[in-house]
Amino acid sequence: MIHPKPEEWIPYLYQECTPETSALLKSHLAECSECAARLEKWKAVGKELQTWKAPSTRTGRAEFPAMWKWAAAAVILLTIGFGLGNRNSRQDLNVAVQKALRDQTASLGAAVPAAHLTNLVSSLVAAEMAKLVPLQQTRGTEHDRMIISEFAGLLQRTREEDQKAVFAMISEVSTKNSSDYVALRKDLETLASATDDEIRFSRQKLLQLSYNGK
Amino acid sequence: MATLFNKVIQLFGGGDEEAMWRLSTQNDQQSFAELMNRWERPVHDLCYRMTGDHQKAEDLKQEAFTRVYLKRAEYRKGAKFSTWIWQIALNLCHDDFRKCSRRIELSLCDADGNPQFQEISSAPGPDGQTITNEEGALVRQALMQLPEIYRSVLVLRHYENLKLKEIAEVLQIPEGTVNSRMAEALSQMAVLLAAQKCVATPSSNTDLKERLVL
Repeated sequence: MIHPKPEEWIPYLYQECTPETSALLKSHLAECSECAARLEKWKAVGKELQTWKAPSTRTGRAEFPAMWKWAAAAVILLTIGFGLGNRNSRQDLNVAVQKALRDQTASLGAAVPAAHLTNLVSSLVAAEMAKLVPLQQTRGTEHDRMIISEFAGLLQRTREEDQKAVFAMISEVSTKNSSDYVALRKDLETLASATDDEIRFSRQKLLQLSYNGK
Repeated sequence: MATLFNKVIQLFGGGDEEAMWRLSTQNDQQSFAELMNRWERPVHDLCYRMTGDHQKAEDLKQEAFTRVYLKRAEYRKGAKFSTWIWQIALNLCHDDFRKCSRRIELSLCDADGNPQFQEISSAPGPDGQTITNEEGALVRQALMQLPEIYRSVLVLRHYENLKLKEIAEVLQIPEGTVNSRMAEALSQMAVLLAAQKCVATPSSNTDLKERLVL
């Protein structure tokens, strides 16, 4: 029987060899009592080495502060995360509404249907609220629910503020469009009357020319 | 606020390599303090396992951190800090062994196969008086009698939990050499431990004290 070299057993002993090598050595081990005995002896040495405990120079100082540090870090991160999320969601909503309004007013140029803008804003707000509903329904600690409720309240207030702003913008656009319409109508009427006068004057000229010709 | 921010950054300020890089490039004292805080105990433990002497381990640890600071400019970015500091600590232990005039050499057995001790050292070390009261004293005695090249692989694996590949990196030798040294170390330790148990029986305690000087 060919025995593996002693050093070939080391990765197997420390479970650091490939599965293929491990399978080969294991099958050899099942048949070879000599190698099995050597491996057992080495394992026993490993166990005995663990009986020498190094007396601690600093007892329990390193582990617990590390745990508390991470706990504190987790709380800080959660707080920052909620804060940023809250702020960003408000900003996103405002930006989205204002962009939609700008696009609408810029492209139409004429009277903007107020109902269309109102529907647009309502749909955006409803989408934001729909995201929150599953959050509110999920199980969580009292603290989590409190934070989510607070966030929902804040979003509601933001929604009302945004609605007011949107209505003000709609009114402004409507007023501006009405005044533009009135000015345009006046211009058209002036142009029409001026054209009418010009036509009348031209007709008189033509009549005079025809009489002179006769 | 800035202090709080710095503390948060510090908590998530990356690993040893980043801290060492900051120390190396920016001379950042805070990074050095961080590294000392994290590595003080592991380095002390390694030196203690290698020398078996607390006071010496404490001195070597201090020396290791002094070298880390003095050689900070030599640290290469991307190099593993753990490998680097293990190398520094082991080199210091090695220098200490060479300098030290007190050594115990053990020839494993005589012609009849009986354990045989040969005293080279003349005076007991500071810990020598309390060694017999310590848990795992036999293991410590056996380990201290093991040649340094074998002791280092055993200590790195069994007390510092380094993988075979990492041991090869620290000692700057091929992985195959680590395996052969480990096999030899385990075999010699088995013999040494058996010898220790043999001579540590109550009947031969007096004889052991006469022959073993640590």
